[in-house]
Amino acid sequence: MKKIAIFENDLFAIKKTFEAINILYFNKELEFDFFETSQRIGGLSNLNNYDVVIIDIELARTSEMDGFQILEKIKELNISTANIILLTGHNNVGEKLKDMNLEHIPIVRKTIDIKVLRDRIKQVLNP
Amino acid sequence: MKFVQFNLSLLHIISFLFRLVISAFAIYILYSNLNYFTHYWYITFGIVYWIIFLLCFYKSSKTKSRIRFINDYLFIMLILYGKDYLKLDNFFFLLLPILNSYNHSYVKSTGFTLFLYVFPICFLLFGTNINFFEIIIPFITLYIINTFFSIRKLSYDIYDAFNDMAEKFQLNETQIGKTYKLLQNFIKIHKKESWLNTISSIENMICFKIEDNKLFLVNSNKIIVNWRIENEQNFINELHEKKYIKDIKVEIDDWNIGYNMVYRIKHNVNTYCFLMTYEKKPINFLYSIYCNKILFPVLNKISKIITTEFELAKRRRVLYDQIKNRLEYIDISTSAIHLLNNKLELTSLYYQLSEELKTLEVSTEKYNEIEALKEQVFKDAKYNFDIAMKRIQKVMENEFNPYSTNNFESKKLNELFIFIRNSIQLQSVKEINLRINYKWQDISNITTKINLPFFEFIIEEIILNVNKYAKSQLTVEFSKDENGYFIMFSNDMKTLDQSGLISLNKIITEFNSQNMSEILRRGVRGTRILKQYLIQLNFEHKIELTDTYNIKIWIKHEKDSNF
Repeated sequence: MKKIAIFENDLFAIKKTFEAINILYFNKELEFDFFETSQRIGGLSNLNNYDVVIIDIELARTSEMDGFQILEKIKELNISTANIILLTGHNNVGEKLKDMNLEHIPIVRKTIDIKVLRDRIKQVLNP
Repeated sequence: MKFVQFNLSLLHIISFLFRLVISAFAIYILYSNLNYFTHYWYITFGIVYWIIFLLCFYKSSKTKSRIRFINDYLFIMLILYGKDYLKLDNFFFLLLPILNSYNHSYVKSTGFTLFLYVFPICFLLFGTNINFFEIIIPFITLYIINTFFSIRKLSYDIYDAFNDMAEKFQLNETQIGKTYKLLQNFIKIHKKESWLNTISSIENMICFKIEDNKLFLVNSNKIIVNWRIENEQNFINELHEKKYIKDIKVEIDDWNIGYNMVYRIKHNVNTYCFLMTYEKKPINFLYSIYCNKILFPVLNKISKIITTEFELAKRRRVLYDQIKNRLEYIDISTSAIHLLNNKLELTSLYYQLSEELKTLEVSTEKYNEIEALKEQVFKDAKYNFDIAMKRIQKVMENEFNPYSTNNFESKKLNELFIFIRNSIQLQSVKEINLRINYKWQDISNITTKINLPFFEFIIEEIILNVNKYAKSQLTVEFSKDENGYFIMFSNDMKTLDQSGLISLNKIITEFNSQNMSEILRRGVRGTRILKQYLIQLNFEHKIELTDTYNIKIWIKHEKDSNF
């Protein structure tokens, strides 16, 4: 089983997309943990326990950090960013990632194309 | 001869003319008296006199004006030397500088005024047999009378100086919101004139506004943190009855306030009061003259400027609120689009799953599993779709939309004329002629309902459009025909090549077309938006191409309109 951490504020809209790709493309070999806020994971060092980390830029209002702040913190804690995928509805995220020297992080735009999401996850799992 | 190039002010001209008068009078004196020196000497005196005068003529300074003054007297004395000083014309010649003192810049020099009298007194004292008192008493009388004139002139000069400074202040946009500088400058002008400072030694000026029977600090020459007026309510009541109150009990920060005066100034509906603190007790007798001639006009002027600033601030507030509304609307719209993006996620997933099931070869078990998931996604997508639609409707509702064209206000046609005139003045296009083909009185009572911001947009777009095809001139004409009042924007059409003419004719056909959906689909962007707003604002419109290119819009006056 491959473990995937997903930071996302609108779980109702997104959960079924991940369920669908799990059945369609991964033979249910993926295990998802969803976090609506940054603090829900109980310390970002726990990200080391996941094979893939998917982060939405906009998180719940109660979240202590948004997606970019989580990325900053990950850099600060020297946690690998090789297994991160960014999820966003915004257009100018690429520029921001460049400013943060994280341009290698793949971006999946909303509304999600399930084949693109499948490819990105596979790319991270089998680099 | 540099002086010829100088920009001569009135004072310079008077000063120059005065020397011409002295010279002419000197020639008369020389011809009507027996002279002590030879003619050559007098010519030399005259040349030296003019050279000294011209050297001190431009860029007046205290020293130069004193040199000019001494030069005058030396010349007069040399001309009169050896003559009968008591002869009427000679005596007048001697008094010329005193008689002209009203125009002299040196009379402002404190103490120096006395010299004006010392010279002729000494001349008469040592050159005639008249006794001291016979000379001194008329001159003292003359001095006193001249002093009165000087005070009056200085009062006007000070008010003029302040007025000049206030006007420059008003014209300078960077000074907006800095009216405290007016108070500081008034005190500065005050302190510069030592005689004025003797009468009224203003130390500080504080301006309050009385509103709802309460005092509000407007500004002051120095920053004030805390202030308190004893029995403020009684003080306000008293101030409503009196124009000024003397020595009120007031505490301002750690200031040591002794003598003070409060003046009430009314401007339109606003009541201001100015608290002035003094170093010394003002001199009572002269103080009331000073108040009427200098202080009140200045305080009135300051009040007017403060009122204008209040009005400007109010307008800025309205503008800021409008901008805020628009920004909020943009923000609401942006977040709504993001929300829609999220809410349509499940709809998108539903279609993607349907597509995948058609193409992917999967086991029956997996197929059934996906089908079951698809069913759930469909239900959830429907739920999310309803939320999305509600959000779309909310954004579309006009009451939240500051860009709505439904906010109409009544405007008179003559107000529209002025509005258009002001609007076209701001456009950097070719020469614009503005004509009105009916009587001004005819349109002063006719009103129309209009959304001004959109109307302005329409005017700008039309002018840009007409300007695009103009050779050198644009005309905006207010006229009337059987369909009612209209505004026609026309130009002196430039020559277009065949393809330009074809595309212009296409634009005209589209613009004049009644088929809105066709225009929205095909029209050129600028004309399309223009047409859209003209329809929304209920303007009949038409483009004509003859020798000129004309855009006409008809204004419905209220009794005709469907508003």
